[in-house]
Amino acid sequence: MTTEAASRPGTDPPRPPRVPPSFWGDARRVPVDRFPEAAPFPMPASVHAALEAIIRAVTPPPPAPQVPPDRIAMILRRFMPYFLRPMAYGFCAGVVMLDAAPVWRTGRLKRLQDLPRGEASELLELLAHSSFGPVQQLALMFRGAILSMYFDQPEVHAALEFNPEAWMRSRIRLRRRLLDGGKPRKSDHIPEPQWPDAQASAR
Amino acid sequence: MNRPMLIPDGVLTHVDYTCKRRYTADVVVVGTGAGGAAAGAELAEAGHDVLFVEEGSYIPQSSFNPHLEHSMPRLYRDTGTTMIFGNPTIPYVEGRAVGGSTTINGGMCWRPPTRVMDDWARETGDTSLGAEGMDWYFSRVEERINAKPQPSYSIGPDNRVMSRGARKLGWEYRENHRNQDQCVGTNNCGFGCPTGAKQSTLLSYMPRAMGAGAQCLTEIRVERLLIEGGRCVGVAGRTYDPRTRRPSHEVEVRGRAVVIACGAIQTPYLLLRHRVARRSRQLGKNLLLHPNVKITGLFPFDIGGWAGVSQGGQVREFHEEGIVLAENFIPPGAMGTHLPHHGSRAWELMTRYKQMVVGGALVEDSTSGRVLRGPFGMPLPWYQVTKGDHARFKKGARLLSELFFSVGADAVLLPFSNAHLARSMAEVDRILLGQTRRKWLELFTVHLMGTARMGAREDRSVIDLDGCIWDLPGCYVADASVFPTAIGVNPQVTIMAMATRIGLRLAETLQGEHRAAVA
Ligand SMILES: Cc1cc2nc3c(=O)[nH]c(=O)nc-3n(C[C@H](O)[C@H](O)[C@H](O)COP(=O)(O)OP(=O)(O)OC[C@H]3O[C@@H](n4cnc5c(N)ncnc54)[C@H](O)[C@@H]3O)c2cc1C
Ligand code: SF4
Repeated sequence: MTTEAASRPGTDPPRPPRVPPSFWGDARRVPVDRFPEAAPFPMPASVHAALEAIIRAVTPPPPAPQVPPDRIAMILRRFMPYFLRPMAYGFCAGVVMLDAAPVWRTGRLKRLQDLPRGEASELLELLAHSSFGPVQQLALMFRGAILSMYFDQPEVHAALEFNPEAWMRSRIRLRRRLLDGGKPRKSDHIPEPQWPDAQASAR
Repeated sequence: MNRPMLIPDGVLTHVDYTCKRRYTADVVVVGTGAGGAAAGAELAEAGHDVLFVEEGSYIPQSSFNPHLEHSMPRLYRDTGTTMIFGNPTIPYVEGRAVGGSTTINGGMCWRPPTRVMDDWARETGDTSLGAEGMDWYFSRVEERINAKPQPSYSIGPDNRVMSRGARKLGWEYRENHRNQDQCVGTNNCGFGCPTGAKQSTLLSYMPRAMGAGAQCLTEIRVERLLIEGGRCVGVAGRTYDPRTRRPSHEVEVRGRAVVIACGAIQTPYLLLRHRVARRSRQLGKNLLLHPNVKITGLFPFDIGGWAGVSQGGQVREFHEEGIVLAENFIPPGAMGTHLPHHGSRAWELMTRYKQMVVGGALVEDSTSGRVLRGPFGMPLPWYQVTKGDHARFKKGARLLSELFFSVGADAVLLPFSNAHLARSMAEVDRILLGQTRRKWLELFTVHLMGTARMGAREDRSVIDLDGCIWDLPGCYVADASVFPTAIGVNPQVTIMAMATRIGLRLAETLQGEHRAAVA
């Protein structure tokens, strides 16, 4: 076959069939696909406890919804087998380093897990603004990992009035209707924001 | 262990390798992303027996959902913990699943500017790499992935913020073409399209290839090339235990030709194990990132940016300066990684999640980095932002802030680790004045390119104009790494166009070899 002989745009063979209906999902949190998720990364109990303490210090206190630190710790540990091995071991070492931060940052003979939540949180904020790059990176890495899991939790979504599953299901239904030959309706369009200048001119 | 549900025929998983560990085909294609799937589909449709080898799993459309918890391990390399070292450190993400990064990408389809393509033609001395010469390949790709403007019912509030702001400021705003078929604006492109609208290679090129008889070995990480008599004759990789993710048995795949399409980081990482492209020493160099800074606008009214397509258009007013602006809304979990605070201050900010619009300013590289082969399976990408690019990131941040304020934002979050919140343009300018150090810049990238550049001269490039590694016959590269220079736009269609060209040329070569053998 030559490049010239290859079909030209406009004369392509028919497109492959669309995804069969059994492949339509419903955007649920835990997919039913039997993808074998990895078991939590092995971690000594003392390191797990230190990780929970860091999570408590980083996640927002009430009135924000309280997510059990153990849940977030277990999600992170389920992620760790997917990291490169040096990264996974580095993560454990990072937990130990941060737990020992009161010693190397303030000279106090205490672990982070022994500090009250507010105090631990302030110390981590300090590290996140450290002028020493590696320390700042370490604090920011843990902050990012923990907050991303915290803000992914259902009770937090509810408090933020973010309900993506319902939205997605409605749009999955819409696309099925369109593929079945339905026409888009006015109500299928996503409303504009309430622009302040539009409100002012309406008044 | 049972084969997972919903795996189509022709896709093999770790379960299958307990019985069989040696495979052969005409062509072995490593990677099923933008480059691998396009090249493999062309080869399969030209009548060749193609075997894909993919490190990630086959994740069906029905699994796609907006939650990070189960999406990240399924779809993202190292659950998104990858980064590029340098000043500053730049986090990047890429896909690890059938479909590669196209399964999780935003679907924007832009051809490179004519000046870039014509530069490629000049640099390589091959006019067919110019805008005119490549037009046929681009059209073919755009047709196969259905690159079209968005339907009106997919446009959401954050898209409107961008277009309205651009209109107010008199800036050129261009609607995106995206690879979609009746996109309904669920804004989940980054975690897989749950409606099947996005024509990632998972739904476009891979079914085409499989329809033409190709097969796909998933859950195998290729670790080395098989080289015999100076020619590449296959690859060897390892499957892994899905529970511990530790490598288990080795699988060997042999073919008359091997196409490497692992992306701009993993391709040089794999090839650097073998001493190839020795004359130019260019392998792993010319790493281009097209990095971006994110700016969040906070509005005194509800936006609900999660409804509507992830990017409806781009502000193209500053494209000639190498700056493109676009909205890029993300779920709260992903937002969590960018927050400037933790604890109660993070919560205070996030209570305004409904009122946020996230935008990005993408900057065309004026420099390049490199990828080294580190220990323990670790690629070591390295990139230093230049002073000039630092200035352009600041300019991009200023422009997006101006746009957000022009449509009524009451504050913006800026991408600098030492100062984030600004409530007016005067404050933005004050913060920008203080941005003297590159290490304070918070960058991110998803557009990695250029580490096995194509060229007409062996002493200046890694692969020749047919995509073959200069000093390793039988081994081709067809992914983002083949770009000779930066393109300054979203790269997927250019990757697919280049891979189509490489795939069709290889199909011709193999056919010629076959005819000669028969004669
Ligand atoms: C979040 C995100 C958003 C993006 N948005 C856009 C956009 O809107 N528009 C656009 O044009 N571009 C976008 N991009 C970029 C675009 O998707 C990529 O540039 C493109 O997919 C790269 O193609 P590739 O073939 O080089 O690599 P990939 O698509 O990344 O594919 C590489 C494949 O190779 C596999 N692999 C790697 N190493 C091995 C190995 N050793 N053995 C076996 N398999 C291996 C990987 O698992 C992967 O499946 C986005 C990317 C991301 C991550
Ligand atoms: S916006 Fe939604 S429907 Fe459209 S391509 Fe993205 S994920 Fe699919």
